[in-house]
Amino acid sequence: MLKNITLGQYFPGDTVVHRLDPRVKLVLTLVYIVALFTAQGVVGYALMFTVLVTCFALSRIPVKTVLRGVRPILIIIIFTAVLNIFFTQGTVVFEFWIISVTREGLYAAAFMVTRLFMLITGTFLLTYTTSPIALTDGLELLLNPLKKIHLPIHELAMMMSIALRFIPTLIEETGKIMQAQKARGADFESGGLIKRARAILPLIIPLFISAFRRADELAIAMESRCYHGGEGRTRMRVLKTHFRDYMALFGGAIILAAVIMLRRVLP
Amino acid sequence: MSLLQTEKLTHKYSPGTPFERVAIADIDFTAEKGECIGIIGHTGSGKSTFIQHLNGLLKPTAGRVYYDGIDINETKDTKIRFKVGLVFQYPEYQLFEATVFDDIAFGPKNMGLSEDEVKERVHEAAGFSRLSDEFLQKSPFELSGGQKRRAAIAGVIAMMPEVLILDEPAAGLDPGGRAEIIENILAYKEAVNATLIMVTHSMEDIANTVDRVILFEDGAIAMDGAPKDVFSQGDRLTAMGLAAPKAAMVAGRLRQMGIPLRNDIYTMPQLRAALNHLKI
Ligand SMILES: Nc1ncnc2c1ncn2[C@@H]1O[C@H](COP(=O)(O)OP(=O)(O)O)[C@@H](O)[C@H]1O
Ligand SMILES: [Mg+2]
Repeated sequence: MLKNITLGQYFPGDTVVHRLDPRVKLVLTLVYIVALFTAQGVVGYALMFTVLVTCFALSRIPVKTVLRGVRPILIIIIFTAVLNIFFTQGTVVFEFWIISVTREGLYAAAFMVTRLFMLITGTFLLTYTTSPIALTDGLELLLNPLKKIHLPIHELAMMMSIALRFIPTLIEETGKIMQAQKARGADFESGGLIKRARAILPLIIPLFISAFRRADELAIAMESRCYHGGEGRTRMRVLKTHFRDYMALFGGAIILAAVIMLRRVLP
Repeated sequence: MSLLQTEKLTHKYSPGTPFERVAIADIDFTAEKGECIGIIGHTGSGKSTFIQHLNGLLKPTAGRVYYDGIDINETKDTKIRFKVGLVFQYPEYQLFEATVFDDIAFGPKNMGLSEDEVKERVHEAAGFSRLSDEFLQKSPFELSGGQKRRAAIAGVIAMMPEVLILDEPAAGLDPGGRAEIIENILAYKEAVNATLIMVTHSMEDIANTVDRVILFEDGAIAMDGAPKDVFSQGDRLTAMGLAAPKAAMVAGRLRQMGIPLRNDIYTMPQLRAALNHLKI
């Protein structure tokens, strides 16, 4: 049950994609999203698809993992397809009772599904190849200018990294408590809605208690090491941009330009 | 057939991912009724993974587990959890009810016992764990660490399991608390002639209590025998990052110095008796 949570999970590795500066990866992901929504027509999509596949190949993430990650959003994808197929006006190719399917509807559905699928897998690539800590570090540095207008960027980033840091811990803990209660005959799997909701109490209560205990301990541990917010704080791992980062940014710019050009040339 | 038996038991965590890890491999193990077994081994040697198979909480990747001749992963019967009681490490973290009484009653209630039977079970289990009636009405969160631990263990004892398995029951307690916990567990074992399996880091805890020691190393059983046979191999234990009980170490040192002591000494009383016998 708890094994299915791959959505946004880090997949350790040591490839070019993994080694890119997280700031660069964040920016490139944005560029990718913009390009994806700008792309038009078969050629545009083919180009974006090639980019996506190349990036995945470079990062050596197995196809199986990618597909497993998409599974939770399959419903949304199917829903989008159905909406597009049945509710787009145009030349009718198929009619049955009150349902009519149009050529435009089929095209729109195909494009929307491809776009959604590429959007999700593309953003997964970021979280698959970037450790949560690197990700929040990169985010904090990118958003740094917003500190000028007194947005608590450091605090937000710190909260995010703590949350990310404790997700696996909490999952592990949930598993342990579940096992322990099962050993006392607790049944989490059968019964109706009310029975199941009640059955979850022996799990939730210890989990909350332990989460509060951990939060308390963490706060004390941070304070006893003189943590006092972002002011004047230096970093252990200073992010450095390399040649490959500039190359990646350059590549991203070219692809974006190409997509915009294609839109002009092939309307 | 033995009461509890495993055949070529193997478990892999996260199979098919980069995190795949073989935690235990090809373990053959048997336990008889009334036996008292200590499982020792370095952290990560697979002890906890192993014991979670004995009541069907973890499913083997390969191999079988038999209880009373029945393959527990083949039957639909979930009663096995009540027959093989498992106390996890730091069991006090699983307390959740408003009172200690209700928490101990959780297991018996899940067994489907009547209210009177449940009440009786709770008082019986509280007796083994020496929790007074006054404690039973307190919230678990008002108790001290040792008391919480005893309450949690009582929660499993209340199911009256034929086999009682405990994962590091005394970890993190002061010496007084440790002794008390071990005493409670032995009291239950003696009263119903249960099979007892105790996982521990502490040699001292098991030296005085068990009649068989199993040593885990890297997911396999490296030694299995009477305590005197296992503890006399001090060098092998040291090589595995474990230490023999203090009495065994002292006896070993004295032997090296030329004092004629037998090599099956591993508890302080034995050592004392042997030294008195020498009459130097
Ligand atoms: N839930 C889990 N997921 C993945 N690996 C695990 C899990 N639990 C234990 N392991 C791994 O299996 C091995 C055996 O662990 P464990 O059975 O807990 O050993 P022990 O109790 O002897 O310390 C260890 O290497 C540990 O990292
Ligand atoms: Mg363990």
